[in-house]
Parts: sequence; structure tokens; C-alpha cells
Amino acid sequence: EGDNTDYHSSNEQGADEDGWPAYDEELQFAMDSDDDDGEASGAEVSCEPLPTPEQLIETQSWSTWPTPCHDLYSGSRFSGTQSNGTRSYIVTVSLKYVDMGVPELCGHFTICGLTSELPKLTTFFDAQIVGAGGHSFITNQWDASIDTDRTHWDFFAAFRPYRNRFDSRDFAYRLTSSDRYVFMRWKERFVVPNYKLSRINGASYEGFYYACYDREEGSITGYYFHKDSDHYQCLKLSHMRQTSFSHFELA
Amino acid sequence: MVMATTQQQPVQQIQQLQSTNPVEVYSALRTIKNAIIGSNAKKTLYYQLQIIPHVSSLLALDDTDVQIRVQATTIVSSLAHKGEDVAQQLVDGGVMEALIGQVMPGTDAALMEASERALNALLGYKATRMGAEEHTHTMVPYLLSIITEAKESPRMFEMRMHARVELAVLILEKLCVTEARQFTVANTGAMDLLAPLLQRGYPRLQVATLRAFAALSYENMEISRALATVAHDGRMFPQLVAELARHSDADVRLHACLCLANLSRMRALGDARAVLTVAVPALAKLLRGSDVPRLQVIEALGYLCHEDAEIQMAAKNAGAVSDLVAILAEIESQDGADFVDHARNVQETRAVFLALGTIVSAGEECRMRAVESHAMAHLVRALGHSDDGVKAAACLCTQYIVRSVPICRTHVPESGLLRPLLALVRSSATSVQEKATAALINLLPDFSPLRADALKEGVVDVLAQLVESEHVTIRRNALWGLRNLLVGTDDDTRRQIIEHVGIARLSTLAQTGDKAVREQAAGVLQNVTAENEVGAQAVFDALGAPQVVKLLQTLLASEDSAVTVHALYLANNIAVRERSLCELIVGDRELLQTIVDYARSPVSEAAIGALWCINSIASHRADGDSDSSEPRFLAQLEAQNVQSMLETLLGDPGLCLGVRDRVKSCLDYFSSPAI
Repeated sequence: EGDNTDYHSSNEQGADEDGWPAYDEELQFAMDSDDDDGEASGAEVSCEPLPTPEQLIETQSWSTWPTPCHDLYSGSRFSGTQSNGTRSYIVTVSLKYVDMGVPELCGHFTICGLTSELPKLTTFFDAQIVGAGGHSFITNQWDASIDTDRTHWDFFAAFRPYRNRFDSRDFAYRLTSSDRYVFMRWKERFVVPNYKLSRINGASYEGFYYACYDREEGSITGYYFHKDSDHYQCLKLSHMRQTSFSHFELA
Repeated sequence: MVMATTQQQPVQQIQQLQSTNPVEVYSALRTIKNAIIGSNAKKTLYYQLQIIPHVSSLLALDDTDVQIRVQATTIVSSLAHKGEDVAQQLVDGGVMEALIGQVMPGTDAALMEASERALNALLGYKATRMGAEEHTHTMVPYLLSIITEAKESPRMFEMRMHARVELAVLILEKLCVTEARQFTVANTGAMDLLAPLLQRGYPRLQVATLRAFAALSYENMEISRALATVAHDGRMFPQLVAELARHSDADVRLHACLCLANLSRMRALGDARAVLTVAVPALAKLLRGSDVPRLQVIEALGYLCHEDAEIQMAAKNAGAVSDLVAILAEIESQDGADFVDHARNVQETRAVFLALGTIVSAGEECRMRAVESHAMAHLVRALGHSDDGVKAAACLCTQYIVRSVPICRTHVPESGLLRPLLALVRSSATSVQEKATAALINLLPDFSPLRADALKEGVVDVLAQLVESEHVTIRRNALWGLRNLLVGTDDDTRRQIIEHVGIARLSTLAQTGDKAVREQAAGVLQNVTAENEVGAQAVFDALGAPQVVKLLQTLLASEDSAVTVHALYLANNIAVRERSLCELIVGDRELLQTIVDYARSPVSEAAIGALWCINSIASHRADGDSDSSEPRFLAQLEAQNVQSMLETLLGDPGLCLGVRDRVKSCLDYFSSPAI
């Protein structure tokens, strides 16, 4: 039955097999607005007219409360550096929307001093979360081969338990809510705010990052890959601690 | 003179219905019957001449001749096709009882058939179907007996027999308008009786049977699951229907897909492949064809895709998104043209936006496909449509398309969406305003470039007014919009919201009234106080310390987890500010105890919120900001046994990782109070 790759089915069935709690169970929300009236579903047979398909479509019954993952939440910020061994640049990452139930994670990636034209360059990126949403350690796109994957994931000590089997057909890595590490791929999509800008002198965002978030340390480490780029550009970010919190939901 | 003569005849015919001579009555009925069949104008004429009471009374009389009954019944059948009002009048006139009496065993065969047709026609409307409640238990066994009789009859392959069975099945379908009736029909063994009809090889009968199964299983999990286990000829029902979804007759394909859609929605199909590989492509193909009413296909597609991300993707991959947008373009090209069914176009436009909305509701890829197919231009245009249903559907579709950070940042800013949407938010029919405000919610978070434009257009003022709407959904949406607007906003906007809505008003809304409104109001209060001291101070200035404490106590006592989570973070956002604000929380033992108790909540979000609050309280130092000072409120926390509680929590091996990290952070203040 449904796994956490299907946001709606995991919400319908309570906690899915990976342990991500369905929000209606944990927060005791009613996904179904009928629960607001305290009616026990299925307790009585109704003599009321059945809703039309249009009425059903116009009613949203799934939870809109996004599921965070510790320091990975909408509005969270990380700061640190990206370096290639000789040069180092200040980087800030601002997560714009995180919902591990979908899963969805995206944000803005700002790097300072990369080019003389743009002392500060911000791009929009979205993430593939390994072990969720149908994503595995195998990239299978963006010119990354299995060897590329092995080389880059190997940079993470947390990956060691999986290195000998990550490309095996029988291996299915599933991210759970109790995992310390969250492996991701970050892909930059466009420049912010001028999304139509396709080329930047001296800079490129055609590659992607292999990334790993460590919950205990509150840190993200990443390694950039592009077939034509300097190898092993390393990203090291730490969570910028907040003390007050706001919260938004998409309807 | 000519007109008067033409009018006289119908009047005379009506008068003749009251004759004591049955031959004259029969003659008048037959003439009327022949006139009205196939002629809406004549139906209207005789309706206005009050034919209904006459035929009703003829049918009600026990001694009315069979031949007269047949004619009267046929007239009832024909009039019922005129519209729901007329059908309802006929039912109110008592014809239903008469018709049911006329289908009982022993009745003349011709009269029986005419009565079945009349019943089928009368039940063609929601109101009349609902009104048939008292007759359901009588009709169902009779209808099933027709099917049984046909199955056992040596004449079972005759067309006439099939036509009668088809009628019986169609009437069964029409009766299933409530859950109770679905069970009434299902519990009579109808499913096993109907299943063989799927393989009869007569498309009309197969369509009727599929419609009956669809009506039985619609939004009914128990019946859907039972249906999935029905077998005929060694094959299970889903398999039979999946085969019919590949039938050469388009009507059969459509209704087979509807059956599969019902079973899929009720999670009655163990294997979703039938839907993904058969139903979705079949519907997508029907959408491109003209063999069946396109409106039905669009509605079926929307229903099938509702709340199922996998099916939505399959629909996108089958080309449904671009096909739906192409339909919009086609309809728009017919605007103002002659000889076009504009009413149907309006219905189709509405259905397209609803279907498109469901397909893009969950997945980014589906949204991107819609945007790449130029759906935005059609949406913007539809927001200015003359029909409220189209506007509302376009707003719903907008809400789901812009539920996307990248789309908000790229395609939305230049779409011209904001102004027409705000116009609908400001002033439109309630049904439209509800959907328009819902769409606006997704355009106001801080990642949306339209936020700045919306502020310039006075969105704060608009939303503040809508907070006072008499409609709950609009109030909720207005508060939700303000809540999203407050995240990452500047102080001017924060103050503007505080001024326009009012902290006191927010406090009242958070504590009383509809649950959904309370949740959003609590969320607004949380966000007002986040990010800096402006909001927290405003809350205290507006309410005063005792009311703030009472507000927090009330919110934390709520049974609604969302409200309590907002309240905990509201408490945190206050506690983290100036010491004087924090003192008010710490100074109330009961409030502090409630917050501490939430640290043990099984709801991890609530526990984390409580722990952050404890953290914030513990972070205040006795002598300003010096790290070497003692935590100022350590004694109050120790009086609540916070350290012991935290240590106990930490020892729990089942503790959620997120909560565990917060517990450790809090304990740092206790283990090393004078670092």
C-alpha cells in the first residue's frame, strides 16, 4: 500500500511504512472537514444525497500543514562556504518551502564574490530527497553516471553503509523520520530575480550538488558536480539558529 | 381567427379528458400524446393547459380502462422529459404510486412497459430521485425480477427483452442517490445479478449495467470493495470492466472508465494498473474524439484524478493537460460566434478548469505542463468571465497552479493574474469570493514576487475587511492570507496589518467561533509576534498582560492541535523578547505548567514548540546578555521540575529525534547554569 512517495496515500493510511507520521494522525487534524462536526465516519448510513463529483473536486480534504525535518523547514537558513581548495566563497541558503510529506524542498542559494559582475548571485534550487519521492542514490540524469554517484556519495561518511549496494536492483533505500542523515541532490534552476537570465559570465549552475544534512550537527555538506567543472567544490553550511518562529501554509 | 382556432383544439382536448365517455377520453389522450412526443412547444402548451392534474386523476382511479392508462402513462413519460419542474409536479400529483401499481405482476404487458419508461423518465432528476424514497423498497425487488426473468426466459436474446432489462437497470441506477439506497440495492444481491449483463454483447445494455454499477459504488467504500470481489465466468469484476474500457463502443468505454474511477477512488482496486494503463489513456483518447459528450469525459477525468498524485501524473503523461488547455482555446475561439451552443461551452469551460485543477493539485510536473501549455493566459481570461461558475473554477485551478514556488517566481509575475483575482476577492458572488481568496493565499508568501504588487494594490485593507465577512470560508481565507503575508515581511506591513485588523479582534477570533477561523487567527497572532519585537509589543499594548495570559491559556486548552501549536510558538515568540514580556509568562504558574506539560506531548510539533518556549525562557540571563550570568528564570523552571522532566524524556528510547535534539538544547541551560 502507499508509501511516502504518495503524499496523499500516506496521509490516508496513517503513519506509512517509513515512519513519517501522517499529519492528520500526529496533529489530530481532520483531513476531512466532516470531522469538524464530530461525526463518526461510517457509523451510520446516510440518507443525504451523495455529493456530486464537482462538489468533491471543489472540496480539499488533504492536510496543507507542511512536514518539516528538524532544521529543514520553510524559512530555515544555513550559511557557510563553498570552496575548491584554493578559493572560498560565502554562501547562504534560505529554504523557501519544505514539506517532507510530499516530499518537496526548495529555496534560494546565494553565493558571494563568484564573479565581478555579480558580487552576489542568487539562484533558485529544488531538491531531490534520496529515499523519498521515488529518488534513490542513483542520479540517472545531469550527466552523472553510476561512478559519478559513487565517487561523490563516498565523500560522506554517512554513506559508507550503502556504498557496496546502492546501485543494486535489490536495494531500496527509504528515508525515515528517525534517520540522522538526509541525503539530497540540489539542482539550481534559474537566477533570482531575473529568471530569464540563462548565462552568467564566470558562473554556471548547470551542475548539481550531492548534499547531506546532519541533524545532530545541524549542518549541510555538499559537493558540486558538473562534467566540465572543477572537481570537488565543497559546500559546508551550518544552520542559522532562530529563536522566534512564523509559519505559513499553502492552500 | 386562425390563432383562436389553433388554440381551441388543445383546449377542447383537455376538456374532453373529463368526458364520461371512455372512447372520447381515449381519443383525446391519444391525440395529445401524439402531439407532445418530440415537441417541446406542445409539451409547454399542454402543460400550461393544466394537463397534469387530468392525467394524474385518471391514473389514480381504480376503474380506469387499461388502454386509457397506457395513453396517460405515455403522456406522463413524455412530459417528464420536459424538465425537473414538470417531473416534480407529476410526482407531487401522485403519479409515482399509480405507476408502481401498474408494474406489479398481472398487469397488462404494454401498460407495464409504458409504466417502466415513465418511471425511468420521472427519475431522471435529482429531486425526483430523492423523492422516490418511500417507493424504493417496492421498486427494487420488482426491477430485479425483470432481470431474473429475462435471464431465465427462452426469449432472453430478443431485443425487446433486452430493452426491458435495460430500462430496469437504468431505473436501478437512478435510485442509488443516497448511501442508504446504495446499500438497499446492493443487499438484494443486485451485483451478482447484474454482472452477467456486462457480457451480453449489446452495448446499450452494457452501458446501462455499467451505469448501475457506477451508481452503486460511487463514493461507497464498502460496496466498491465488495464489487471488486464479484466474479463472472471466472473473471473478477475489475477485469471485466477493464476489458470493457477497451470496447469498440465509445459509450461503453466511457462508462467502464467511470466504474474503474469509482473503484480506484475507494481504493478497492488492489492493483492500480487497470486505472493507470487502461482508464486514463481511454479517457484521454475520448477527450480528443467526438464519439461521446465531451463534458462527461472531462468530468470523469477530473473525478478520477481527484486526490491521487499517481493518476494525475498518468493523465499528464497521456496528454490530458495539453488537451484540456486546447479545449479552452477552442471554446474561446468560438466566443461571439453564431450557431454555437454557448451554454454548453460555459459548462465545458467550467468542467475543464475543475479537471485541470485536480490534475495539477499535487504535482509540480503537472503544474509545469499546464503552464507550458499556456494555461495561465486562459486562467486570466476566465477570471473575467461572465459566468460565476467559470470564475470560481478558474480560481480553483489558479490556486493549485500557483501552489508552487518556481511557478510563482517565473510564470506568474508576468501573467497579469493579480488584478483580476483581486477584483474577484473584493467583489463577487460568495462562491467566487471563496475560491478567489483561496487562490490569493498562495500568492502572498515571501517567495512570491506578487506579494509586493498585492501590497501596493491594498491587499491588507481588502483582507482586513473580509475578516468580517459573514461567510466562514471567506473569513478563514482572509486570515490565512494575512498569516502568509506576515512571514518575512517588513515592519511597515506588520504594523499595517496590526492596525487594520486589530490585535483585540484577532484575540477574539482565535478564541471563539468556527474552528477553521480560530486556527488561522492563532496563526496570525503567532506570525505577528515573530521575527522582531514589534508584534509582541503590540500584543501587550493592545491586550494588556492579564488578557495575554488568558489568551494563551485559552488557546493552549484548545482540543485543536493546530491552535495549540500556534499558541506554543506565540508563547515562545513573546518569551524570547524582552525580559519584561517573558516575566508575564513565567509569572503565571498555571500557564507555565501548561507549557511545560506540552513538552511531553505525543504530538511532536507541540512538544518542540513547548521546548522552544522553555529554551527561550531559560535563555534570559540575570545580568543582561552576559553568558556568565545565571539564567534569570531558572528557579521558576526548577519549581516546575523542568530539568527532571527533560532528563526523563531524554531517557526515552522511543523519543522522536526532533524532540530529542530540543530536549538536549534545553538541558544545556540546566547542566551548566553558569557557563
